[in-house]
Amino acid sequence: MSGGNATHVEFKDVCKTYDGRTLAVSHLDLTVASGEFVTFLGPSGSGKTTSLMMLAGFETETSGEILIAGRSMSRVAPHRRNIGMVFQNYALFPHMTVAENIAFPLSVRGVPAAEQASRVGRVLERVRLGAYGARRPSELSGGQQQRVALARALVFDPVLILMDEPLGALDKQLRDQLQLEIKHLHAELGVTIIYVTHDQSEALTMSDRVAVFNDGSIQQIASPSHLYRFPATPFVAGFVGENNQFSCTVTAVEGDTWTLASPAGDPLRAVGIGSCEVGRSVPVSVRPEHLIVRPRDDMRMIDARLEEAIYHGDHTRLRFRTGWGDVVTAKVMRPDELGPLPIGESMPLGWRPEDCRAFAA
Amino acid sequence: MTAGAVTTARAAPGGPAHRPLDASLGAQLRRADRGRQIRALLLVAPLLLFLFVNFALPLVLMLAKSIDGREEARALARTGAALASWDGRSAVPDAAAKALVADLGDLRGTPALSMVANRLNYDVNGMRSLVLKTARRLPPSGDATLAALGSIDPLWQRPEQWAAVLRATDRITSFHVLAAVDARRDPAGGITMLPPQQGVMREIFLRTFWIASVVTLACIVLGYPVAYLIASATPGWASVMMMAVLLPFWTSLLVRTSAWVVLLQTNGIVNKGLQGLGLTSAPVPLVFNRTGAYIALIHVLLPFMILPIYSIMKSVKPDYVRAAVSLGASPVTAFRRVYLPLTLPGLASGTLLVFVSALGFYITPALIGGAGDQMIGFFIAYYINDTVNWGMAAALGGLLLLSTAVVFLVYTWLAGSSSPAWRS
Repeated sequence: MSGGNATHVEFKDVCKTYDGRTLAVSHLDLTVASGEFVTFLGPSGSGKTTSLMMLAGFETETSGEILIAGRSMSRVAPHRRNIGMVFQNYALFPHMTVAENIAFPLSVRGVPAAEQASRVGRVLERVRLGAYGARRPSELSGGQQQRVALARALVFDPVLILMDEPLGALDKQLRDQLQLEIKHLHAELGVTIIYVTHDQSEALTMSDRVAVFNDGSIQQIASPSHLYRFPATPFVAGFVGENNQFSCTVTAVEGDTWTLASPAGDPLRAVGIGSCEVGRSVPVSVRPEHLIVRPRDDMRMIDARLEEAIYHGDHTRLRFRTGWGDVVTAKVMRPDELGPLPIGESMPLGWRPEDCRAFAA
Repeated sequence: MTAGAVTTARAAPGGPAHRPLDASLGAQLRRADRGRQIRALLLVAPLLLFLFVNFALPLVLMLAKSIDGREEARALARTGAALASWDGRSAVPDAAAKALVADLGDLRGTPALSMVANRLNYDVNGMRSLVLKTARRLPPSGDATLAALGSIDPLWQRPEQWAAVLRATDRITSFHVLAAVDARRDPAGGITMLPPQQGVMREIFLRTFWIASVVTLACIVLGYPVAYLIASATPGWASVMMMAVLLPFWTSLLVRTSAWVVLLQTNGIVNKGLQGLGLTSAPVPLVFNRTGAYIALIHVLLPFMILPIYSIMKSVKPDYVRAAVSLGASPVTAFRRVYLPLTLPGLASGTLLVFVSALGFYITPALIGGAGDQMIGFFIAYYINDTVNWGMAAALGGLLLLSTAVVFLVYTWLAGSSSPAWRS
């Protein structure tokens, strides 16, 4: 976490329903520290954008309370919340020039014209668009437009910035570049950023912490590396990064080390999440890069038949069919070290027990 | 591009000789395009022909009527020639009197006499009876002097009557066009405006523009919020409301206007309702006056305002207003500085549609307005049907067309300067 530790944004048991029957956001509790970069990650309809819109004031929470800097926002109109916001489609005003767009938040605050001009000039330089002030937004490329939107959200020095899938409309190369730019801006300015995306790699690249949303509630909130290495639910395991998932039956529980039986009866070991009694069927997940082909005997878990080897340049993916019919993928950096890999042949697969997770939930 | 480059390279590598080749390529392109253009032209030819025969040609012929003085000039040919050198003020030469007697002699007993008499009467009041009386008592042609005419009616001694005769002998006349703006030629040939109490056309034009402006303004005030409501409603409600807007739009204009007469009359449902609610004790005059005309015109023209605004509003994403609000604009500021400018093109085309339609409205004010609420369309019809003064009707129509063109030019100029490269 960069910046201070004071709580900046707080969701207290916030619920939102549109139809009175189902909860779009369900009992959301969340605190964001001052200067933190927090990403709301989740599939569409998971409640992440609704939560952001409630924070911005465009949606009203059905119950619960949202606080910014300790102050309840329930009676604060959206235009008085002093939040910079960046939209997916940029939302640049098409009837104004770039400079007029950026000056807009200053002029509605009554900043004198001369000061407006100098601040607009400075922020345009910061997003490397110094020469574009007189253009119309429609004359800029998508990446440039998003930089203008960013400049417009920064120019009035808000301490909280919300970004709603700001890079969703851009191509991959531009997205990678702007991700870094936004990250550097965050580090320089020390503002709090709440960022909404459905792109897990974007979330992992940029954030101090990632909140994974599903079905209106946060599944897990943690730093990117913690999230990746220690997913708390099968949903997080499947949504963040790649994972092989299949069901196994619990045969023994020793603390958090569980012994399970695969559907084909192979004994295997995994880290157990939650508490679980023997005999239950639970989802088990292991990442492709943690799958070991022809392991040492103490790590051997299952047997599977090699179906396909897919060359990716820096690595090769091996697709296996397990005895009970699931597909598992192994990501291998140096396939030539494994000896011959004949397609159609069954071979042992394994993993270190700490790399495999079984979920009681 | 590629094909051209290949051809060039093959013919003359790097030489200036590629020019003729390019030219023939251009000619090929033009030939191919010409084929397409001709096909397109043939496809629209029936429509163009229809428009020409039924719209452009009648329009031109009708407009020509406003300056056409050939019939009168032919009927008074000899008089015209005799008066050609007269200065309009001094004594009228006897030759002119003689020529007039000869012309009237030929006209006597033909419909053209009445036509000439009417035309002179439009110019100077009383000329119709003067001409008809003179034609009845024509002196023998040998004795046709000014004095002889003067003995039939002393009015012939005055130059004003002769000036009117002279004006009626122009083959191309500005008479009707000037009359349409309350102006006329003085005996010396200059243009003078009629004194206000005599001129009615200026007042009618001002009234027409005033009524059109009031109706347009009311349509903006009433239509903009309705368009916003429809544009921001859920699809189900939006289609219900759109139906409510379109249903009257599909009903005959005459039916709707007559319905308003029934609703607004002294014992109509509106007055009964007002009295039933205790808002008035006696019936309010709502029909055959300006109020009724406004109500009916606004009702008839409102869809023309709502529809263009609605279609523009549908294209304005809600994110624009949200962005403005998130940047610190109050809802009023966000509306004024973002939403209104973005919907302005719809407002402008709605305003143009309503204003131009209102300018030319005839049926509704004619049926529901009072005598003092008639617009220019009523008077055009009046000159066509009642007084059969087609020259005047044509001049008024031309003037209305001109006003519409000016309004349209102002619109395109405003639309061109304020909006937008970004819409294209």
